[in-house]
Amino acid sequence: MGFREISRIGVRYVNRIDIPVSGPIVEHEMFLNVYPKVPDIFGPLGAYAVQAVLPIGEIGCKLTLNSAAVPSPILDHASFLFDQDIAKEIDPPQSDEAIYDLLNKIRVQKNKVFEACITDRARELFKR
Amino acid sequence: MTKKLIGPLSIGTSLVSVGSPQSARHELTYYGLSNALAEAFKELALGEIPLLTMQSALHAAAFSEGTRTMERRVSDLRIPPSPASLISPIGGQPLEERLFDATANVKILTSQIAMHLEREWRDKLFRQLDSLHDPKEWEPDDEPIQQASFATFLKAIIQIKPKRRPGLGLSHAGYLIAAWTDKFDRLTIEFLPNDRVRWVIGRPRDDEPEHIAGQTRVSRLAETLAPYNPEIWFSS
Repeated sequence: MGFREISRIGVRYVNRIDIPVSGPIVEHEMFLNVYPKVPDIFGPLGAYAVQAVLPIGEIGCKLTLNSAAVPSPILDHASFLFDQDIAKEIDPPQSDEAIYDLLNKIRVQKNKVFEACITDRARELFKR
Repeated sequence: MTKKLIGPLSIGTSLVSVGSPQSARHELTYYGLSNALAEAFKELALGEIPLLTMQSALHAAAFSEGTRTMERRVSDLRIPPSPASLISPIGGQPLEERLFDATANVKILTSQIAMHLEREWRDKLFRQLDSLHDPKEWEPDDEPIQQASFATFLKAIIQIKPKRRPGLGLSHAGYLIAAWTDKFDRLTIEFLPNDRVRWVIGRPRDDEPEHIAGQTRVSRLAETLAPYNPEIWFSS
């Protein structure tokens, strides 16, 4: 008898931001700091999806960021997904104590990432 | 004779014949198959092997290693079904389970827009849904609430933001029906899938009941009802 070694510890946080639509175009870059850049000649985007994978050196984790326009479940709104997957794949902790410690650190990083990726206009939406 | 025997295994047969003389290969297949069949049926009849093992034995005997490798590769190329498409059929479920699943699904749907609904409103809505799906009072032929109908309801409620909560009911097909009453004035809205709504207003005119009905998209509901002074139903 023994224990299987933990090979990956990851946490996923999926947020949807509903932005009230007041005109024909919603400028997502006014709400999010993660967005695609396309040449102006294309005009406004109908939809988008972007992914970025980057290290979080502080806690030795990998952050996979996904952001995309999604159909809004409510009327007169445009919705965007902001999806964070933070995982430790190299040398993940094996004891309960170390795992909980890592999860707490991931939560702090998740909040940092989220705050860095939204604008003040988005924050105003959450205050309603 | 060979064709008759291997007819049901036609996919494997066509793989066997690739790049080899047909008759010789069929002959080989036939003898392999007949031997495997005899062995497998004998052992199966004696209760010594399960049916699955018999199929494996047949498969191994009927096809060469090369064919099986090719079959494995073809099989690997098939795209597995998406996890999202693995929806369990609810037809054969016990009634209580069906009702539970239906209400759970719409509650999950509500959770996705929970930030737009007050907690108290949501709690009352859930109690109404549970009450509508009480197994003790359920007619077996009725359909539980349809998610698509409920999604339309949520869109309407978040847009209209009625101060007064509606009475809720279900149509035979599982579409949600909401009703607001003010003395003798009554507004009934049936929430259909695909963002459609059907509404009926009943109000007395010269001591006679008058009914006005319409059907529109949920995004046009507020505008369509505006001429009928909907505040009498929606305001507290």
